[in-house]
Amino acid sequence: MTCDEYQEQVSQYIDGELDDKDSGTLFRHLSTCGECRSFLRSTLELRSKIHDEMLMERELQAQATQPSSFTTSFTLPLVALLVAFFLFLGVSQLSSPYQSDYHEMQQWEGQALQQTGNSVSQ
Amino acid sequence: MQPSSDEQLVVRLKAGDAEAFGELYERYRPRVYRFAFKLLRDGDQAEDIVQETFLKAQRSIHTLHQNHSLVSWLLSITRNEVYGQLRKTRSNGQVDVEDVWDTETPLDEVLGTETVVIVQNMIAQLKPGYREVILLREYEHLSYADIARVTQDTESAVKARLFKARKALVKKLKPYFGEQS
Repeated sequence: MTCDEYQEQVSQYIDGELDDKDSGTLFRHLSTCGECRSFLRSTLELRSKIHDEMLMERELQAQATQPSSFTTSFTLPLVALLVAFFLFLGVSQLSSPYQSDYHEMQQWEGQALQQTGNSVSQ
Repeated sequence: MQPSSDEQLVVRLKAGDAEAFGELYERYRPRVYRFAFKLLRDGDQAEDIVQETFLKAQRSIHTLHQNHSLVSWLLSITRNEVYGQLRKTRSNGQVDVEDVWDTETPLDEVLGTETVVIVQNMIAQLKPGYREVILLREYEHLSYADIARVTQDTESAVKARLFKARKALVKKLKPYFGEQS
């Protein structure tokens, strides 16, 4: 077999389309032939670069489907602020009955003190 | 709801389930677009091919045999559409040409400095017949049998074309690869 034929087998080997018997013969040849070894390395490197490109493509697609960093950085604090505001409003409303009781109690205390003062002076 | 497997999807498609066509589109649109775009190198034309592919798929779903994969069937429709487009716009849309490189894009025109970009550009400069086998194998991970179905060729022809394309690419790209002995 010529190196060109072995290199065609390298191409099939990396695709998982070469049977075990032919793979054995190929590896015996690769152990003695630098040119075919170099072809195997370069073909694997080509595949790895294509793989890198696909990863880059996927990242770009993922970025395109996500909201932009401006939107994220602007909307998230705004939402947090609104949530905090409504929480505060809710807490204020919840606490308001107690506050009115407190005012009533203050008024009652004032009146009581006034009455006590009046009775002492009399 | 669990997404349908391809087999379940085909059953629903053949029953004329309109929802299933929507699922088919969502699932395979990116792959159909990528294949068309990388063969044509034109985003607008690739978009047209995507629409045409899914319309044809809907009309001819009954021609999909049970033992054929859905993706290779879709890509074979895409390929036919792309070649139809190439025949309209280019002189060398044929696959049976000896030279691996496309003469319509000069080889010196290698854009970018990153190896990944250079590889992408080199693949784009292969003749469509060689480019398609690289795309179907490296990007779509189709078996030789499925590539042969898509390209309407024999497995041995696919094997030979893949080897020829890889050899040409490796030769051009060697200066950009880290060479070890």
